[in-house]
Amino acid sequence: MTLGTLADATRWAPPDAIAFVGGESSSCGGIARLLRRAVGEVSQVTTLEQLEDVSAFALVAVDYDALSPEEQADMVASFALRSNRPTLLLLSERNVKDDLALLFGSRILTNMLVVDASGPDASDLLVTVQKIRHGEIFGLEKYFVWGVEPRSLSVTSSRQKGATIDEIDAYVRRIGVTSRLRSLIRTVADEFLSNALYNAPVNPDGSSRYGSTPRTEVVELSPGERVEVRYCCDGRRFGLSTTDPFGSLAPNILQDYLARAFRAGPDQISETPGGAGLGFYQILGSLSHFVVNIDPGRRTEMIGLVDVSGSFRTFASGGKSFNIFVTERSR
Amino acid sequence: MSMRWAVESRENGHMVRISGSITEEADLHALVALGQGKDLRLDLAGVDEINSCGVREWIRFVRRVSETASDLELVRCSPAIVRQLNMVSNFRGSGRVTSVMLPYYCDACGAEQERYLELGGADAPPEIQETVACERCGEQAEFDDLPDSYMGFIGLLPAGRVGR
Repeated sequence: MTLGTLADATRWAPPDAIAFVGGESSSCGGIARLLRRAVGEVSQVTTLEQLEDVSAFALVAVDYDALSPEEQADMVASFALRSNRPTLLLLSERNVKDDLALLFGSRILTNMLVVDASGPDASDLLVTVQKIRHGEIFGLEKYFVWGVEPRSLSVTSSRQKGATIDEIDAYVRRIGVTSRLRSLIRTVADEFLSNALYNAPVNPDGSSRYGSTPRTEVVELSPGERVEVRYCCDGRRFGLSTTDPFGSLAPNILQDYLARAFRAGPDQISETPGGAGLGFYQILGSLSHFVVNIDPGRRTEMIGLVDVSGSFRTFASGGKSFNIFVTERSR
Repeated sequence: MSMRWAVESRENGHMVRISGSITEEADLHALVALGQGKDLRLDLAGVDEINSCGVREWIRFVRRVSETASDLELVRCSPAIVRQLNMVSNFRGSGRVTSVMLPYYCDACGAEQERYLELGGADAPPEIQETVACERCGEQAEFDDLPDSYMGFIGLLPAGRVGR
């Protein structure tokens, strides 16, 4: 295992190669060392321009905080213009809420991980990198240590939504989660289920089946189209996932909804029939980590992770991580 | 818990206490009629949850009330309401936000409690007490949010829309 040099980076890179763009600070060095120890060879440079051919890399991890605002804007423009670009992973310690409209709007933001004073969470970093490299993207268990056993429910009707949310709520109440955090978890469960029941189902021709249906109207799915709900807690983090068998969510749709919501302009809320267009925004605001796994035409899994180790304040001060993964064969 | 409301008539209008969850099922039409030409004061301390469709229903409601009521005042806004004030543009319509509920959490016993905070004018930013005595065990309960973020919506409100 070696930390590669700039010369290594530009000479040759294997198909699953990783580059890290960061400054000379000790925190950048720490991230690079963590990456190297966790996944092997990493090419480290200080500017994006030093990676002459970014398309040679499977993943380019960028210490977002080490870039000046001008460099951040240049990076967005540079990545947005590339047709064959690698997966971008932004690492940031600060609250980047003000940048999210631009980052989602440019459609380059598919992965962002929170970094604290001690660096990124090693487990989350490893899971993110390995999912990108190896394409095994599904499963709530990836975010928990061995031994945590998720509970499962199946949903085929919007009539079951309330009872399902109540069951999840009863679980988090039993394990002692505070009322404000429980409220966030209820919101996430509600939005995940609405998305899986109304937005995900498509007809054989790919057209949306219930996208324009008022959310007050009942929808029923066939047994083969059931939505799987799973949830668990390891004492530190609560996790919830819903999986639908349609795989109809396109990453750019998700990014566009989030960009519009973060712009907070007059079009922030959709007035067309169906959803309000705020679901993903409410979800991201309610989670410590939001993960979307998509196998186009086959399956979409949404995973929400909430830090329940302390109070709401602990959760709120923790920043937000975000990932969209799409199966390899469809990239 | 679905949304409920109770009306109390006053000299120039009505005080409406809203509680529960505001979702796509929330029927706010009747409240629009209550505000017709009158002052409407909404007590929101009991609202514990709002989903995305509930946000849309709410915004449609405050938009219509803003056109018909002589005055719209949002009082005792719960943490769930404050969260939406901070996330969603125009969540208050033309309403005045005059008071909020502050959440506190006691790490010693796990108790949660809320304190009332009246908002002054735009030129007098409210002060949040970082700690209060826990009502259950007497230890120090800490303000359970990030003060700047919690009151961030005040910066989004035009002068004159924060209290009188």
